[in-house]
Amino acid sequence: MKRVALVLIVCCSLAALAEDDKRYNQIGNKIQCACGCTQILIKCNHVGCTSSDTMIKQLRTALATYPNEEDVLQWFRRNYGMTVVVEPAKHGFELLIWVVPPLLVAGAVLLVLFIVRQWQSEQDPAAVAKVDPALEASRARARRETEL
Amino acid sequence: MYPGFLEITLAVCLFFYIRNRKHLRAENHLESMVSRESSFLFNNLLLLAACFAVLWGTLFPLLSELFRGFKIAVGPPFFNRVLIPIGLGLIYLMAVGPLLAWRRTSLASFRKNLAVPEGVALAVAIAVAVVVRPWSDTSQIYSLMSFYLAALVITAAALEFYRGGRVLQGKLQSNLVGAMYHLARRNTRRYGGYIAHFGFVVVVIGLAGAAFNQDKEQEMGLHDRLKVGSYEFVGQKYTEDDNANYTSLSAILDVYKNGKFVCTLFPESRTFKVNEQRNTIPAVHTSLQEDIYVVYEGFNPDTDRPIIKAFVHPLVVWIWIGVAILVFGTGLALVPNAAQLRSPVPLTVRETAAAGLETAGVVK
Repeated sequence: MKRVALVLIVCCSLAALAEDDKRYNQIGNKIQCACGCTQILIKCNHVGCTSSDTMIKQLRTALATYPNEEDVLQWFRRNYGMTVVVEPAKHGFELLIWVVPPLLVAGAVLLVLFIVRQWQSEQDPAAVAKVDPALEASRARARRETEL
Repeated sequence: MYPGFLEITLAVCLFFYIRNRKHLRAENHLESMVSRESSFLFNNLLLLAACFAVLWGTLFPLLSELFRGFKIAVGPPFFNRVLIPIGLGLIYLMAVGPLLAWRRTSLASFRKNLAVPEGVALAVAIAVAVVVRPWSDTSQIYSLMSFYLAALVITAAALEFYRGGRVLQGKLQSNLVGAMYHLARRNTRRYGGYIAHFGFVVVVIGLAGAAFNQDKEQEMGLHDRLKVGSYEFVGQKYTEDDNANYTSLSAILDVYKNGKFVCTLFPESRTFKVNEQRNTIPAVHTSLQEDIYVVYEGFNPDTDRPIIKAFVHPLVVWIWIGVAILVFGTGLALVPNAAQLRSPVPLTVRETAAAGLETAGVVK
């Protein structure tokens, strides 16, 4: 029975350590080193960096103090300024930065699909080829010259 | 100054677009979403999306300042999360593009053409997954996807060479390699393009290695060992030197990989007397598998022991090799075709297009 309890305790401790590491990586990747090297804090490989060691210690302390990720980031914003956090938040105004690019891509794909459908439903697809002779000659010359 | 530049660029582009809009009007309509034309279209769409994402991420701090009164920072987490999927999409299109026919491809023939590259790519991805187990973070999963897509592109391009070579082999009565050489000479734009694609994905393979970078810093005395991944660095000697220009600290480290001797490295740290400026001279060892960089960081004043930092960065050299292949492929694409067909009389658009389709059919 004691052995089972011991195994359970060891497993729980290992799981907690893995969770701590995951949180450390997750949040540490959102913070920038303050020495001016512009590298991510936990990836700062700047030789002789005067900031990263202290900041990493502060990160570990903040992780132990605050269970909430946003509170940890807020602590860094208070102490190092707004620009120390380099990943925009996923709420409020900053949510816009995340949603606009995928929305635009989705909109563009839908637009392309719509236009192609419309083209396909047209009765006489050859009608578009009716261009003036000068333009046709210019296009033929461009083809010859570019080998397309 | 900066907004002025953007406005001028926009105005100039709009002016030429409006002026030449008749020339830019499509001669033919896109007939199917599964065609080579559509792959070019989506390729351009993704490039445009990448361009917009960079502009959006760059301007967003200014928008934040404008609307909320304070600037935020937008760094690698945003750009990686948005641009890496776009980049992977582009590589996928690079792979499937050559497998699609012009105008229209049936889904059945697309699947048939994709079967071999897909099988090879899956086998590569499984092999990488088994050997490297890349699931500790998102970047490693992206890296695995990059290997899969790179294998897809390489196999698709190789198949195009092989199929074209087989067709020409019969006509020229030569061996397959010779036939593929002639094939590339006869249509340099197309086959130079495939080689450039190959070079590009070799660069991607090199970049994908960055997900497995490792580094470690440690105080090292004589015969102390520093372990980074499968490498072990053993301190053999530490020396100091003083000359008219600088004082230097240097180390001699033996490098072992899985217990086998690889090389000896000599990292150095110099302090120049004229301005008291310190300069580290890293020792570098390059191989096809990985690059090793070792930095002599100086002495720990408390323990009076040297501090050594070692980096192991996999696949870096493939970035350079890929660039060389890319340049070669681009150069080949610029060379005129060996047996260029020239029409003695001007052809109409329809005749030229029909001839083009015929040629494409023969080559395929």
